[in-house]
Amino acid sequence: MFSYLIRRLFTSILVLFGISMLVFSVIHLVPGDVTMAILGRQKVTEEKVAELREQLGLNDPLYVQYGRYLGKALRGDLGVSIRNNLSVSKAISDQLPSTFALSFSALLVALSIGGILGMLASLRHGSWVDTFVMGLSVSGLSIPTFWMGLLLILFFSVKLKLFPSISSGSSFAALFLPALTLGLPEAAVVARMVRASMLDVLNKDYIITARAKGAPERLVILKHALRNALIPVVTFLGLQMAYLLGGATIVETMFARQGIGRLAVQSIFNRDYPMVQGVVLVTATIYVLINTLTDITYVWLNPKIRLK
Amino acid sequence: MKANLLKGLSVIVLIGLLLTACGQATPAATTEAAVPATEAPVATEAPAAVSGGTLTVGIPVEPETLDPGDGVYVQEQFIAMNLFDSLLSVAPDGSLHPGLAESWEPNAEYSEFTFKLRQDVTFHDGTAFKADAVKASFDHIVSDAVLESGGKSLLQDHQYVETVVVDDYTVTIKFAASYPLFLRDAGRQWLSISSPAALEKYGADYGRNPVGTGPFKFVQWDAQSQIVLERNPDYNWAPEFAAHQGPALVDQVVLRILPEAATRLTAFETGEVLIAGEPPALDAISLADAGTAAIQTFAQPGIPAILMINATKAPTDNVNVRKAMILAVNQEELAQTAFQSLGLPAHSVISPTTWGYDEQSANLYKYNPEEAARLLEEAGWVDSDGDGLREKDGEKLTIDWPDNPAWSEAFNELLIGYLANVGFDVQYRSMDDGAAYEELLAGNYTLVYMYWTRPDPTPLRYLFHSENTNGGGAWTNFVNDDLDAALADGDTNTDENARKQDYATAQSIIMENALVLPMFSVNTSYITAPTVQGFGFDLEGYPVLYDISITQ
Repeated sequence: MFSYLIRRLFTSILVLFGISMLVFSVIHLVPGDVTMAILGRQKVTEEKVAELREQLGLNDPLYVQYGRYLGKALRGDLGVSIRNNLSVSKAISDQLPSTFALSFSALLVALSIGGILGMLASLRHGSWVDTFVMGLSVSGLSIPTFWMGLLLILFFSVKLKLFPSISSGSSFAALFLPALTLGLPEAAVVARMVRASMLDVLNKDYIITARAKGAPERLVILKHALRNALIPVVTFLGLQMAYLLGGATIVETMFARQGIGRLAVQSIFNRDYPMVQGVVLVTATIYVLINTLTDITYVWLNPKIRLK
Repeated sequence: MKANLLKGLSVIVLIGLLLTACGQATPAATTEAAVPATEAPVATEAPAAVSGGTLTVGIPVEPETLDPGDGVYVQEQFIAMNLFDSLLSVAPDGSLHPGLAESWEPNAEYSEFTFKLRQDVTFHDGTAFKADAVKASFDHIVSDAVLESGGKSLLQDHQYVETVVVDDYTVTIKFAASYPLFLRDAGRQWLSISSPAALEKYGADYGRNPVGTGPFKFVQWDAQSQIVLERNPDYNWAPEFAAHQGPALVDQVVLRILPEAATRLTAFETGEVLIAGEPPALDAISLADAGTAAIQTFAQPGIPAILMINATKAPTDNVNVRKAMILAVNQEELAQTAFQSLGLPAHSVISPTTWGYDEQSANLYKYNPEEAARLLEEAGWVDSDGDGLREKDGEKLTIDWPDNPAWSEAFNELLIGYLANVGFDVQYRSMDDGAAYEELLAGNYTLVYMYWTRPDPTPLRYLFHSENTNGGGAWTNFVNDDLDAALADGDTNTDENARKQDYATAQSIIMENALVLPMFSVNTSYITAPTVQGFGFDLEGYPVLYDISITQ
C-alpha cells in the first residue's frame, strides 16, 4: 500500500510538472504579442513596446522564463496580472470558493435527483415510471447546459420571479438555478447508473436471502440494495467533480457568477498570461488531486487493484 | 411493500419542493443588498427629491482599475466620475465651469495654468482637499506606478513639467509646450483628483481602493461580480450646471458586472438591475415598445466608426479607388441594419456632436454605386472574366482587412457586400487584436477599423499627422504638408477660431482624399426602468448617476 502511495504521488507530480510546462509553452505559441494587448492600438512606438517587454521579462529565453515561473509557483507566488497588477494567487483564491460552492451543490443535485429517479425506475422496472424516467434522462443528457440554463431562468426568474437570474455568493437562492443547470445533466447520468446498478443488485442472491428471512422491503432496498448499488455511482461522481469544475465555466458566464471558470475565459480574452497560467495550473492541480485521492480510496476499498 | 417505499420517496420529493418554496423567502431583488444601506438622507440646502434606495446598474465590462489616473477605458471613466471630481467641470454644451477649482488663469502661452481651489472640500477618507492633493494626483499619473493611461498620455503628450503648490489653496500646473486644450482636459475624469493620503496608504492597490471627493464613496469591489458605491452625505460641490445640488439622490449604487448581453437583458427584465448598459438593439426596442424600458442613447463625439484606408498599398493607393469605396457604401442602410433605429450614419471623419465639426466635408459623398463603378473603370479596373469582381493587369481588386470580428460583427458582412457589389474582392481576415495589430505593423492591410471618443477633434493628429505613420496610429500612411500643418496648429494655437479653421481644413483634406470610409456614429446606449428618473449624459456620453432618483 505504502509503495503504491509513493508511486501514485510521484506520477501525480510528474503530471503536474508536465501540465505546467505545457501551459507555459502553449501560450507562447499563440499568435500575437502580449505587449500589444496592454498598449492597445493607440500610439504605440517601438521603444514603448521594447521597454514593456523588458519590464515583463519577455526578452529572456523561454526556459529562463519558465524556471522563474515554476520557482515562484512552488512558493505560492503565481505572479501578478498583466492587466490590473493584482496578485494572481489572490485573484484565484477570491474566485475559488464560488466555484466550489457551485460544483458541490451541483453534485448534490445530481446525487439526490438522479438517485431518487434511478431508484424509482429500477423499482418500477418496465413500467411507465421506468420509461418516463429514462426518457427524462435522455432529454437531460441531450439538452446543452446553456439551453437548460436559459429555460430555467425564463421559468424561475422571468416568469415566477423566484430566484435571481444573476447570482453571486453561496446562499440557497443564489445557488439554486446555477446548481440545477450544472447538476441536471449529471443527474441524468446518475439516474441511469443507479437504475442499472440497482437492477443488477436486486437480482443478487443476498437480496433474495434478505427477503427470504423476512426483512422489511424498505430495509432490503435501502440497506442491502442501495448501499451496494451506490458504490460505482460514488466512484463515478468523484471523477465527475473535476468535470463539474470545468463545466462551471458556462454556468458561471450565464449567471454572471464569480468563479474560476469565468476568470479563465476572461484572462484568455485579455491575454493575461500570468492569470491564464495560474488558473490552469490551479485547476489542473485540483483535478490531479481529486483523481489521486479517488485512486487511493479505490485501492483502500479494494485491495485487488493494488496487485496489478 | 413497494407502494410504501414509493410513498416514502414521494414524501422526500415533497420536502424538497417545500424547501424550494421556502427559497421564496429570499426574493431575487434583495440578494444584491449585500451591503447595508447608508444612513438616513441628509437635508440639503436646495432641497431636491431625495429618493434613497439602491440604484442597480448592469455594466458590460469590468473595469481594470478605479484609479482615474491609471484608467484607459470608458468603463473606468464612467465609474470614476462618480467617485472623483476634477479641477474644472465641462457642461454638456462644452462650456467651462468651476469644479474643485473656483477660478483659473492661463499664462499668455497657455503653458502654465494657475488654479484657485475651493476651501470647503473633503475627501471620502476625511482629509481636507488642498493644493498638495493636485500635485500628488498629477505626479502620480506621470510616475512609473502608472504604466499607460489616458491621463498619462494627456500629460506626457503635452510635455507636463510639474505642479507647483503656491499656497494651500493655489496651484500652478506647468507644461513645456502650449496646451490650449488643457482647461477642457482638466475637466476630464482621467485628470481627477485623488486623496494624497490614500495614494500613499494603498500604493499599488490604490486602483482597488479609490478615494476621491465625488458624490459617491467607494464601498467594495467583488471581482467578476459587483462594485458597490454609497452616497457621500457631505457632498456639496456639484457643478453649477447639475440638475440639483447637495448629496446624490440615491443611497447606494450597485454596478453588477454582466458581460453577456443576454444576461444583462434578463436581469433588467426581472428587475435585478434598473439600468442596463449596451442592450441588444432589437430587444431594447421591443422593451421600449412594451413600455417597460426607456432607451437612452448618445452619439459619442470624436471619431465615429470609420475604416482607415491604406493610401500607400495597391489598389487603394489610387484616390479614385478610395473614393469608389466610400460611394459604394450606403451608410444610412448600414447603420439601420446593424443597430436598427438606434444607429446613426456617419459621413465624415468626426461626428457631428464634436467641437469643430465641418459640415461641408461631410457632404462630399452620397451613396452612388454607379459613380463608384465609373471611377473604378476610369482607374482601369474592369470585370474581364465575368465573376463580378474587377481585375487590372491580372491583379484582382483586393481589399485586405485583418480584423477582430468582436469590433465589427454587427456590420462587416453588410459592408463587404456593398464593396463586393461594385467589384471589390474583400478579404476579411478574422483574428484577435494582437494578431491584427502585428499585421498593421507589417503593413499587411487595406482597412483598419477605428473609433475614438473625445469631445474635440484632437485625435485627428494621432490618426493623420505624418509623424505617426510608422505604427503611431496614422494607418492611412498619407503624407500631406498642409494636413500636418493644420493638425499641429490645431493642437497648439491659443485662438479658438483659428483652431476651428485648422480642423475644418484637416477634415476637408482627409475627406477629399478619401482617406477614410465613414460608417456610423458610435452610440452609447442604456435602457432604464420606468422607476428611474433624471437619467442624463455628460459631455462624453457617460450617464450621470448623481442626478438619478428612483420612484417607488
